[in-house]
Amino acid sequence: MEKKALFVLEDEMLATIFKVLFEKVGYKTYIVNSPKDAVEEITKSTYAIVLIGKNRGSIVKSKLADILYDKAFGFKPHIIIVKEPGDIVYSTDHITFIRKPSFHQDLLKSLSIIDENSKIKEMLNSSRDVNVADNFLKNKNYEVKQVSQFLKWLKGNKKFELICSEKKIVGFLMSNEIYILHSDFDNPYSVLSCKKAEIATEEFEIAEFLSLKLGEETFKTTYRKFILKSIESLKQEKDILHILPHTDSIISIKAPRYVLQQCKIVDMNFNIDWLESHNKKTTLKDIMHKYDGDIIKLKTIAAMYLLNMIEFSKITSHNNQQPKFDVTIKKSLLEKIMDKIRGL
Amino acid sequence: MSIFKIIVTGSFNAGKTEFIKQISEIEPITTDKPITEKELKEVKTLTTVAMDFGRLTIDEDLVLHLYATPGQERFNFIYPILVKNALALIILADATDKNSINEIDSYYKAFYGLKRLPTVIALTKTDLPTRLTDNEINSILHDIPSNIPILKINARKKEDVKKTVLFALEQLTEAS
Repeated sequence: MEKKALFVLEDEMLATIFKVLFEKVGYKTYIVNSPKDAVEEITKSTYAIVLIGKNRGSIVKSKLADILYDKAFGFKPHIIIVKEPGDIVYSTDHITFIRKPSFHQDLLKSLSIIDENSKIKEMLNSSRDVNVADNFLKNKNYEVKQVSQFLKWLKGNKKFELICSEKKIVGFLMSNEIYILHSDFDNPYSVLSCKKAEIATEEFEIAEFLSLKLGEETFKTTYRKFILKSIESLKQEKDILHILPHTDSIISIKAPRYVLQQCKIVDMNFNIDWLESHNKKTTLKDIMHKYDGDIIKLKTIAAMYLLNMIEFSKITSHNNQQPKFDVTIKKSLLEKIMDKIRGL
Repeated sequence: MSIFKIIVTGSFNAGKTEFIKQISEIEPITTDKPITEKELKEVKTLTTVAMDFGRLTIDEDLVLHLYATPGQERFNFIYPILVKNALALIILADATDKNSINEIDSYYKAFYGLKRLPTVIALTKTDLPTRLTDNEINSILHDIPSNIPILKINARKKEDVKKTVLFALEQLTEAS
């Protein structure tokens, strides 16, 4: 059976390039430039691949991918998203993404220098991208900060730009909502996997916010949801521990009981009565032992900490009456070992 | 027979294998090499997950095992096994590699959560011109408790390695 690929793409040059590539490897291609036409097409014919690039719709590419996948006639397609710098793309089993190629723009630019042909100039102008996030912050005074601490103390109306391992995220917090204008990350929630980053912040005036033209596709979520989803995206215990103070730190509850109860993840994972009865009496280490290192419990603690529901008191090892180390060895054996090493 | 351990951890290329080589009486055993010693039942399990192993016999009843554990998260599951009978933790980091130094804090916390061990941070490759400056290093390590010694060593020099291990073990004598 002939394999077919559907392109939802308005960039004529890019569509032609992809068409040649796909046809070279045995696909029959069909190109549309609006989501509406794509939906119509996918419900009447079977496609092995759907490729989504910049199109005439206002819906975000990931959302369009989900819709096309759900509505696909018969066999479910694999979806490839052509990711541009400001796109928020989530990789799943059936969605992958590629960075938008730019070599054709480079080629056109070179050609425009040596050839006066107006067609070249026209194509060059139509393929040029404008990114509103580029000059969003006026004064970019970067400071190296721990990303988790930056998020924990992000309050009020603030613009921010964060750079970590050559990936940039630009956005702002307006009251209780986070907007992301640009993200080089696969999804903005993975920003917490960066331990430290260069971060610039700036006050965001309401007047400027009101005059900002935001597309429907702009990523927007509540601050709390952003924190919870960012923690949820962490897979490794060490990444979660990195957010938290040392495990000997004592936990004190700051939030009122009803706030804890209203937070689903807290209510589901902890007995709030127990938490309150152990207020200022238990350490992070105690909780890790109690729940046998359960990563969900650890994530919940991290969420409570970043959302300022709990706080940790500083390590007080000097005042602590407990032994400094969890090591048991006879002094004579330790001396033997040290003597042997000295004599090597 | 009493067996104790020294754990050497750190990012890839920080010099862990070289480190244990300096004080091990055997050529370090790396991944999947056969183990014949009867007392080393545990070693078999651990070396099959890409761990370097060295040994130092103190006397006929006392042996020190040296483990160089890979830093990758996928090996975290062996940490709880490793800390049993461990005497000290050495965290190595490549001074020319910012990521390697950035990761020190996570290694420290990962082990500290399991067992409080006397710890020394040892920075390797500090003689290379591409090393980070002291200010850069201090700024990255500002979360590490100030009582943890930070040494600059050459992991290929036996004296440097001895000094590092002794710095860690001396903390036990001070604490007792």
